[in-house]
Amino acid sequence: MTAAIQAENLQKIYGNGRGVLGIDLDIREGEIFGFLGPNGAGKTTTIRSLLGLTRLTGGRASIAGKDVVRESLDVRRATGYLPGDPALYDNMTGRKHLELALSLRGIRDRRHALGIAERLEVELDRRIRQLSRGNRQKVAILLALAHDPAVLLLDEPTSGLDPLAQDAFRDLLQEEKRRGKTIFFSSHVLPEVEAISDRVGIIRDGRLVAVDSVEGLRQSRLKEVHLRYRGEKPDFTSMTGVRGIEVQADSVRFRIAGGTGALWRLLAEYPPDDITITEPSLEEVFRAYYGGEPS
Amino acid sequence: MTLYRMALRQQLVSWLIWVLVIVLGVATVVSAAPAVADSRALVTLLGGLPASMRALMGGPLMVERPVDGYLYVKLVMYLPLLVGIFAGFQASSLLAREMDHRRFDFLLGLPLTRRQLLLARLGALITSQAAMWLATVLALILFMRQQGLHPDVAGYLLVAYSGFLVTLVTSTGAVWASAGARDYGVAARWGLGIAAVPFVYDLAVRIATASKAWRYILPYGYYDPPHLLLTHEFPWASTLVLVAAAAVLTYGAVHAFERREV
Repeated sequence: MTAAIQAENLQKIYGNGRGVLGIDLDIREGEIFGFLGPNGAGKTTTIRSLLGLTRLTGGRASIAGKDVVRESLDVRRATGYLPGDPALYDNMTGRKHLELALSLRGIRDRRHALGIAERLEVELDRRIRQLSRGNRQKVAILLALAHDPAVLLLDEPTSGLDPLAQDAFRDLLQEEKRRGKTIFFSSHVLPEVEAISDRVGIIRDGRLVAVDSVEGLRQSRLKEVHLRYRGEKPDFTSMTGVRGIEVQADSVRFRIAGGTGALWRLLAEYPPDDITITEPSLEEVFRAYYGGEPS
Repeated sequence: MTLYRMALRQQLVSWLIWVLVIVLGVATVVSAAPAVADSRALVTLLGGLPASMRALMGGPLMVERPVDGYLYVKLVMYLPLLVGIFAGFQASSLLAREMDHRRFDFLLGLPLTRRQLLLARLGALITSQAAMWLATVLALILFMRQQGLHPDVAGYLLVAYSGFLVTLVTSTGAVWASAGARDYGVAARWGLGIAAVPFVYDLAVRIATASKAWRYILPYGYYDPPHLLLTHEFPWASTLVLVAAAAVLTYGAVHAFERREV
C-alpha cells in the first residue's frame, strides 16, 4: 500500500524552542491515524505544517505524493482540512461558506456536500454568529469533507460536538475509510481515538514518542496480573518482565511486560484458583508516556 | 473573482458609512459656497498672505474662481486624507485582522496562493476607493448644481483621479504594513500613520521655505487640484510615478505576506 502522508524529520521550531522538533510519519492510504497529545504538544503545528500553512524549519513532508512546500496547491486540492477551533465568517451562512469553498475548488456538483450536511444535520442557512459552538464545528467539518478529498487532516474534529453528533461523525469517518480515504486526526479524547483509529501516534513536547496500533500500544505496556491461591504459590520473581510483586497470604499481584508465554507455562504447573489479567486502556498507555510511569 | 467579490462585500458596510460621512461634509461645505461666489474679500485676504500660504490657499484658483478656491481650501485639499484614512484602516483589516481571528486557516486550506488571496483583497480595496472618489465628486457636482453654481465636471473628475492615485499608494503601503504587523492594533496604527503623516509632511513642506521638490518624495505632492482645475491637463507624470510606487508596494506586500506566519 502506498503512503498517503509521509514526513521525514518534519520540523517547525518557534523562537521559544517549542513546536515540532523532528517527526517521521508514514501513513498508508485508507488508514485512520489518531494523533494523540495534550494541548501544546505540537499536534496543530504538525497538521498545519503538513498542509504547508506554516513554514517548515527543517525536514520534508508529502501528501498524496506531493511535496507540501513545493506542491502546496496540489496538496490542498487533495486534502480536506479542519482547523482546530475553526474561525469562520460570522456574517456568512454555512451555505455561503460551502459555496465559497466549492467555487474556489472549481466544483459545481453540490450533491456530495449536501449529503454530508444532511447526515451531520448542519444548519446551512443560519449565519455563523447565530450558531452554537457545536453547530459551527459541524459547518467546519462539512467544509473539510465537501469536496470528497483523498486525505483528511482533522484537528480535534469532535471538539464541541454533542454525543449524537460525535457518533454520526465517527460513522462518517468509518465510511470514508471504507471508500479508501486516509484520515489523520488529532485528539486528546482517548476513547475516540481508541474506537476508530487503525494506528495511533503519541506526541510529546514536539516529538513522536510512540506509533503503533491501539492493540500494539497496549501490548507494549504492563499488564496487571492478579492470582488467587489456596495452596502453594510459585515464585514469579525469576520470571522476566515481572515487576512490583505483592505477595499476600492467598494472592499474588504483579505487573508484567511483553508476552505472557512464560507466565502461562508457570501457571500450568501451579494452577491458580482465580486469575485476572487486566489490559491497560489507551488512557493508561497515554498517561504512562506523559506521567513517566516505568514501562 | 469569488475572493474579490467576497472582499468587496466585507468592505461594503464601512464603505457606506465612510461615504455617508464624506458626502455630509461635502454638503455642508458646498452649502456655504454661494456666499463666496462674488466675494472679493477672499482675494483681498489672499493678497496679504506670504507666497507659500497663498499657494496653500489655492493661489491663482482662489483669484480666478473663488468658489472652487474656497472648496479646495475647505474640502478638496483634505479628500485624499479622508479617503486615505479609510484605505489605511481597511487595508489593515484586510490581512492583520484576518490573521488575528485565524480566518486564513479556512481560506488557505483551499487551493489558493497567498498572492491570489492578497491581490483579490487589494483589488477590492482599490475598487472601493475608486468608487468612493467617484461618489464624493458626484456628490460635490450635484450639490454645486443644487446651489445654483456651475461645477467644472471635467476638472473635478481629474481631481478625483489624481486623488485616487494618492490613495492607491496609501492603501498599498498600508497593506504591506498589514502583512508584516504583529496584530490588528499595530496594523491599524500603521494604516492611519501612512495616511496622515505624509499629509502633515506635505503641508509642512508647502508652508516652509524649503525647496518644494521635497514634496515629491511622498504621494500628496502629486495631488494638485488648483492646477488640474485651471488647466485640465491629464496628470501623466503623477500617474507614472504613483502607479509605479503602488506596484512596488504591492510587490513588497505580497512578498511579506508569503513569508508571514499566519
